[in-house]
Amino acid sequence: MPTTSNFGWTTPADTDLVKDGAAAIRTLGNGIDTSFVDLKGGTTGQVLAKASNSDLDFTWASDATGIPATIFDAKGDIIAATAADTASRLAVGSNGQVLTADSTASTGLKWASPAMGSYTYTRIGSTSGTATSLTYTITSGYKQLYYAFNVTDPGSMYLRLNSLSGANYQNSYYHRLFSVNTTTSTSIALDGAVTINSGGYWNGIVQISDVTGNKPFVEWNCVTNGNGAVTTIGGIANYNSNITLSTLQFVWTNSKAYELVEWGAN
Amino acid sequence: MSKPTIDFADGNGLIESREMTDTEYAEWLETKKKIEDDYAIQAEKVAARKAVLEKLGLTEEEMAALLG
Repeated sequence: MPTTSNFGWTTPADTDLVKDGAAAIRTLGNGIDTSFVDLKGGTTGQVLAKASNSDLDFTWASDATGIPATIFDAKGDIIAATAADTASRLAVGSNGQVLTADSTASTGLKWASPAMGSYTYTRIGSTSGTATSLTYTITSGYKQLYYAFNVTDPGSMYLRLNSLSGANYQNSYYHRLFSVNTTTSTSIALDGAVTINSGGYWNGIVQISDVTGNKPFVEWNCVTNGNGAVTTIGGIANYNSNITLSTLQFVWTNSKAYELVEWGAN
Repeated sequence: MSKPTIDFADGNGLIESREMTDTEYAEWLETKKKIEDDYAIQAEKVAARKAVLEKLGLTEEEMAALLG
C-alpha cells in the first residue's frame, strides 16, 4: 500500500477497486486522527509544547516562556524568580539604592543603600597663618579628602572649591560654610596622631568624596563642645559636572588666625 | 589703607601671604556682603524660632521631640 511521504499515512493504491475506496479512506482518516490526537484538549491560554522528539508528539502546557506584561504594576518593576520556574515582580527601590543579593528576601534580591566604603586616611600636610582669605591647593593623588580647620573666633565664613560660584553646585547652600555660630571648642583630635587647636578656637571639618570622579560630593560640619563630635551639619553639595578639584578657599569677613590639616585616602 | 591679607598654601605649608590685589579685594568685598547678608537672615530665623518657642513655652529639646 502506498503511504504519504512525510507521515506514512496509508493511502489507496491506483489499482485498488472502487469497492475498497471507503475502507482505504477510513484507514487514511484513522491514521491522521491518531497522529493528531495530541492536539485534542487544552484550554484557553495554553500553548502546544513538544512532549518528545517524536513527530507530532505534543502536549498542551502553560506558556512558560512568555511572562505577561500585566505582571508589571509600576515604573521600575523588575522580574525575579522566587523559585524554579516561578516569576515574581520586584518593585523599584528608592533613589540611590542598588540591587543587592539577600537570601532572606522572597526573590533573593532587595534594593538597598550602598554600603559605605572603608578608607584609611593619611595625614598629607598642614598650614597655618593669619589672613582674611586662604586658598589651599588640594594635594593630588587622593580620592577622598578630609580637612580640619580652626579659626580664632566664631563667625561667618564661606567655602569655595576651585573658585566656583553657586551655579556650579546642586545645592542652594552651595558655598556657605557657617553663617552663625557662637560656639567655641577646645580640641579636635583625628586619627590619634594630631591634636590641633586649643581653647578659644572654632573648629570645623570639610570632607570631599570622589575628588577626581563623578560630581565630587562635599560635606562640611561644625565641631563643637570641645570633644570633637560633629554636632552641626553645615551643608552638603554636589557639583553639576565631573571636575577635578584643585583648590579649597576659605573666606572670612575679617582677619583670623587659622590652622588647617589635610588628610587623604584612596 | 592697606587691603586684607590673602594666604596661599598647600600640603607643605604656607606658600605666600600678601595683600589682596584690587580684583581680589573687590571679590572679597562682594563675598563679605553675602556672608553678612546670610548672617542677618540666619539671625532673623534664630530670633523668630526663639520667639515661637517662648510663646509656646517649649525648650529646643521639647520642640525637637514634638517634631519627631
